[in-house]
Amino acid sequence: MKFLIKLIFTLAAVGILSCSSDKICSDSTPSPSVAVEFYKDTINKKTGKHDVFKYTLPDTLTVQGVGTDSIVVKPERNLQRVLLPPNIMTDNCTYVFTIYKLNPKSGVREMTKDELKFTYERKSQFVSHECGFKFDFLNTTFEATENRFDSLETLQKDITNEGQTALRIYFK
Amino acid sequence: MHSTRGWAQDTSSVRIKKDTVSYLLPKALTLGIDISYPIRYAFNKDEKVFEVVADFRFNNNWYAAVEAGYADASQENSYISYNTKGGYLKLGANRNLIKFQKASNNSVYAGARAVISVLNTDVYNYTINQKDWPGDVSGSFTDNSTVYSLELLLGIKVELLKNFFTGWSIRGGFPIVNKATTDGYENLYIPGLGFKKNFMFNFNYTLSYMLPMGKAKSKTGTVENVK
Repeated sequence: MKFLIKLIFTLAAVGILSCSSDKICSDSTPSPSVAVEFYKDTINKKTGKHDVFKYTLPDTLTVQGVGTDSIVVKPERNLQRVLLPPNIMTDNCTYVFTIYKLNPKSGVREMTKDELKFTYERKSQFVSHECGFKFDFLNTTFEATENRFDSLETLQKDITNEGQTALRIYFK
Repeated sequence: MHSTRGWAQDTSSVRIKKDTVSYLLPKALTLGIDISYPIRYAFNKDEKVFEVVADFRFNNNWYAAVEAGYADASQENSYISYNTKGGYLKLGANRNLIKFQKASNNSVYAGARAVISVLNTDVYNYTINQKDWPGDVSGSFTDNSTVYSLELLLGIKVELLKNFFTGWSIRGGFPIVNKATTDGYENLYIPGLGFKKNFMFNFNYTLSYMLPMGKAKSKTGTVENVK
């Protein structure tokens, strides 16, 4: 009987605690971004083979979406990976990469621009009671201009988790 | 060797069990209504529930038990707002845990239920926000779903006046079949179990009336089990 009373009170206490757990959403914008990594593909002069490696861009990079004032990547040097959220209002969006390179001979900062376009299908997906729904982006395709960019390699067509790199940009 | 033999002797001398219950309770049907949900509704308008209960006593220890109800619950936050309506039926058994010296209709029991909840959910608004582009997306949908759950409970039933009872039970609900519906939406409210949580605690408080089928009989002498 004593054991039973203890059990009843323990269960009641656990229950009351579990009742008062009004959680708050920790990520109010849960839709995944496209994780973009910078790479370089050169031909090794000694061996004559391709040499692919992660490329840390030494120049100052700014990334901004076309049609928004918000700057996604603020001017920064030595970037190797950036996260670019697709626009959830439309089925495509374009980012402008503005790169300032210091010319060591003349001492002048030279600017180049490249555009990267995402085209995708939006699929709403339940996250939790606290955060509601997010969008996943399916069948994503990437197009880009080739000023500083050399080429693109798509690793993920379905963007559901920004922890996984979706796109490699090879730099010239 | 010595220690092994000693242990064996000890257990054999302790193994004497006495069953002192000397009465046999009649079969009885008890019908009742939950009054906790109306009281809870006075404090929390999120959840409206009506529940009736019944049990049938087969003997001193075993009862078949049933609860049936209808629930209407809503919740709102910045990201999702919904209303769920639906009925539920709980079928199971109670096992009396306490042996009283004299014939008594009171009981302290443990029980289990299989629960079926049939529900209709109206997610009347959800909003997806984004930070680096202007604009948010809103939507809505409705869904039908059937949830199967297991419920474990502990309860107590006390005879206040002749054949009139008041009862408490505390319950833990465990959804077994609870399929995600539109876009992976998981039922956030399950009629009969409550709002979705890691541990779905619930309770009820009932008033009920018993219809006994006969009177308590005494057994012929006491039963002793000696092993």
